[in-house]
Amino acid sequence: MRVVVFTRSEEFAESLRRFFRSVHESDIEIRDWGFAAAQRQGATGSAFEDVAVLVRDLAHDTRSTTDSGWIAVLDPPNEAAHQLKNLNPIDPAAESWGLLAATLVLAFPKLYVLLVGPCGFAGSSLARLAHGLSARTLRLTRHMAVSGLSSLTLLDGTGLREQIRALMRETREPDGSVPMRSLLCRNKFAVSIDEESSYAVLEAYVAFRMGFRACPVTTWRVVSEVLGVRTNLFPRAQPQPSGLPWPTPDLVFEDLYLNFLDMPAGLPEAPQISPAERRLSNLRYRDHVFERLGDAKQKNGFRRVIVTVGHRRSPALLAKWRVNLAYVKSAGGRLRIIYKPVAGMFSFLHAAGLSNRHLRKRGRNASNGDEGTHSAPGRLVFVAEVLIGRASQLLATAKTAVEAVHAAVLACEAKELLVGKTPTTALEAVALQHEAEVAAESMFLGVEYNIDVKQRFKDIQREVEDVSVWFAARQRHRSSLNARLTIAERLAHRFSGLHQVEEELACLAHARKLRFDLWVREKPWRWVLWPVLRYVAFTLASLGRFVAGVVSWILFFAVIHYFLHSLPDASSAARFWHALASSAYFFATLQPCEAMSHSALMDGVLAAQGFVAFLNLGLLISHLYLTASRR
Amino acid sequence: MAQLIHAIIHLFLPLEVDFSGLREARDQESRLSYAAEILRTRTGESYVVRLQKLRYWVAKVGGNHIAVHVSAVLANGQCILELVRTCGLQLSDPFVRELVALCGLAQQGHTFNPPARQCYVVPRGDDRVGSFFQKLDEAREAPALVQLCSAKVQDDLDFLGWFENLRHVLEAVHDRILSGPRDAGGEG
Repeated sequence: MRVVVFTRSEEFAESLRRFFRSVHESDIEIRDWGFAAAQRQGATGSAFEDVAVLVRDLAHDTRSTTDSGWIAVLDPPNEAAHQLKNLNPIDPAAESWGLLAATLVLAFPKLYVLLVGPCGFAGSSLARLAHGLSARTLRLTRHMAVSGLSSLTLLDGTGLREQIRALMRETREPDGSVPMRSLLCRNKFAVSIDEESSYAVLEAYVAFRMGFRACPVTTWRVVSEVLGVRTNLFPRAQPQPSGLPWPTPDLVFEDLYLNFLDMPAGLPEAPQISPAERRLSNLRYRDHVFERLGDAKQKNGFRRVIVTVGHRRSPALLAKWRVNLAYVKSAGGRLRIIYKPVAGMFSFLHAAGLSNRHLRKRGRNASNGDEGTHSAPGRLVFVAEVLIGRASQLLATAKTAVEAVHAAVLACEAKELLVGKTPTTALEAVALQHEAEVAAESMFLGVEYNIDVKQRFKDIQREVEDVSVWFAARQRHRSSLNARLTIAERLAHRFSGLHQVEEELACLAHARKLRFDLWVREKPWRWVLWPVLRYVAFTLASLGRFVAGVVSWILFFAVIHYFLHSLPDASSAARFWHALASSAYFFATLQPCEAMSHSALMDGVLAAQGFVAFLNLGLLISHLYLTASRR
Repeated sequence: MAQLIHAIIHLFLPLEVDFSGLREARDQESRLSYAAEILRTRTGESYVVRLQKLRYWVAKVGGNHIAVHVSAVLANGQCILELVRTCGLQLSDPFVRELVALCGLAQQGHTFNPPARQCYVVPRGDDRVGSFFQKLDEAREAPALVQLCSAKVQDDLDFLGWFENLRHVLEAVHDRILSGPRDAGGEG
C-alpha cells in the first residue's frame, strides 16, 4: 500500500505512521509541498503552478499508475482549504490546498483521498463522510484494503469527482459564460456484483460509460459495505462495514451464482424463507440479505441485469430459475438477462437495454458552441494531458482486461473534462478510450471471439463530430474524416497486436472507406470516381459482399442483354435464362457468346461490362491476397 | 469560525488516529504493542491542556493562563459562543446545547442574557470529559491505554464517538452561524 501524507504536524504524521504500519504493514511518505507553496502563493499569484509540478511529479512515478491503489491524506495548514468553493480547479480564486485536493482527485481516479477537517461538501453526505479523515474512514481502509478502496473511487462510486464536477459546472468566466455547463453529470449509481473481477469491472465500466457512478463488487466485504447487509452475521474475525450512507443503486449487474472468496460461513437468517432456500442464487433471499438491493426495487427506474452462463442442466436448476424469474416479475423493476459470453461492450449495452441517447444529447448541447471559446479551461487541459499520458502508459503494458479498463477510465475522464473543446487533445482522448476498450474486450475471455465493431464505428463518428464542431466550417468534415481514419487505423493496429483478425479487417475496411472519402474531397473532379471507390470499399469489406456485388452485376447486365440480344422465337423465361448465361459467360471469360449480335450499342455495353469484370477481377485478387496474408 | 474548527480538530486528530489503530488492531497482543508504541513516542501537550484550549475556544472558559496561548486563533477575538450570540442565535439551539455538553460544560439558562455576562456556561460538576483526558494523561502502561480506548468501563468516555459528535456539531453550528437566526429554530 502506498500512502502519501501532506501535513506539517509532526504529531499527526507520527500517529498516521503508527496506524498504517500496524494496521496495513506499510510506511507512509510525508510531503511538505503545501507549506512552501502557500508561502509562494502571495508572491507568484499562481497556486496552480505548484499543484501542476506536484501532480506531474506524482504522475511520473509509475507506482501511481501500476499500483492497485493508493491513499493520499491532505491536512491543510489553514481553514481556507476546507471551504467548498476551493475544491474547484477552474476557480481562479481557489486556494492552493483546495486546488491540490481537486486536481489529485481528478487526475488520479484510483487514488483514495482523505481530507482532514470539516469539508463542506454540502451536497453529498457520502462524499463528505467517505473522504473526510475520521475513525469511520480509517476503519474503511482496514475493512476494504487498498484494492477495495480503489474499486470505490475508480468509477467515482463515492461521488467525490461528481462533487467537483458540480462546482465546475456552475463556474462562470469573467465574461459571464459557463464553459463547463455541459460537463456530464453522474447522479445515478450502479453496482456490478460478480466474483470474477474482469466481469465486475467491465460491467461497472459499461455503466460508467453510460453516465453512472459505479462500483464493481467482487468480495463479500465490498458488497456488505456498498449494499449493506440487513442482519449482522459476519464471522467475528471480520471487521464491520463503515456504515457510510451509500445510495440505493439505480442499476445493478449481478451474477446469478455468487461465490465470494470471503463468503461468511453462516449467512443471515430470514424467517420468511426456508433454510433450504437460503442461498444467494435465490434472488428473493439475496434481496433480503442485501439491504439496498431490496430497497432498490421500490426505486423509480431501477434496472436489474442478470449476467449468467445460463446453464440449467437439471430440472432442479430449471425450477430454481423459474422461481427467480417469477419473483423478479412480481417484485417490479425492469429485468434483463444477459448470457455469457457477450460480443463486446456495445452488445452488452444493447442486451442490457441501455441507451446512450442522453450522451448523444449532451454531445449536441456541448457542440452548440454557445459557451466561451473552443478551448477548455487550461487547468483541465493539464489534468486531461496527465490522464492521457498515464492511460497511454498503462495501455502499453496492460496484460489484463482490468488494466485495460483502468486505461479506458483515464481516457474517458480526460475526454469528459474537455467537454469536446480543445479538439486535438479531446480527439486523442477519444482515440485512446476506444483503443483501451477494444484491448479490454480482446483480453477478456468472457467476450465472444468476434467483437461487435459496427456500433463502435458509429460511436466514434458521433464523438468525433461533437469535437469537430470547433474546427473551421470548411475544414470540419475533412477534420472529422481525418480523425475517424486515424482512430480506425489505430484500432486496426491494436486488434492486429491482439490477434483479432476479423476485427482488424473490419477496421481496415472502415479505414479504407474513410480514406477514399478523404481523397475524393481533395479535388472536385475526383467526385466522378466516388461511386467506383465506394463500390471498391464495399466489396473489399468481405468476401460475401464481393460475391453479392458480382452476382448483382451479372444480373444487371443480364437484363440489358435480355433487351438487346434476345432470341426471337423463345419464350420469355428461356430468353431471360439465355441473357443471364450470356452475361455470366462474358463476365467470366470476357468473350461474347457466339450467337451474340454486334450492334454498336451492344458492343458499348460489352465494353462497359468488360471494365466492370476487370475491376472485379482486381478485387478478387485483392481478396485472395488479404486472405493469404492473414497470419 | 472555520479557523477555530480547524484548530479544534487538530487538537484531537492524532488521538483519533491512534485510537482507530488500537480498535483496528488484529488481536490483543498487537493492540498492546501498538499502545506501548503510542506511549513511548507520545509528544505534544497534555490532553488536559488540549481540553482547556477547546473550552476556551468554545466558551472562553479556562482563565487567563490559557488565553495568552490560544487567543490568536479566535475569530476577531470572539469564541464560538460569542459568534453564536453575535449572529442572533441562543443557547437553546439544539446544536449549541450539544456543543456545550460535549465540552463538559453546563449551561446557566437558555439565553445569553443577562447581557455582558460570560458565565452563562460553567464546567460541569460530573466532568466525564475532563476526567477521561486526565486518565489519558496519567496512563503510563499499555493496558491502561487499551482500556481507555475500549470504553468498556462504565462512565468512561467513548472518545471516538465523542470526537465524531464534536466534529459534526461544530460543522452544524458553523452552518447555523452562516445561515443566521432565521433557520436556527431556537427560542431566541
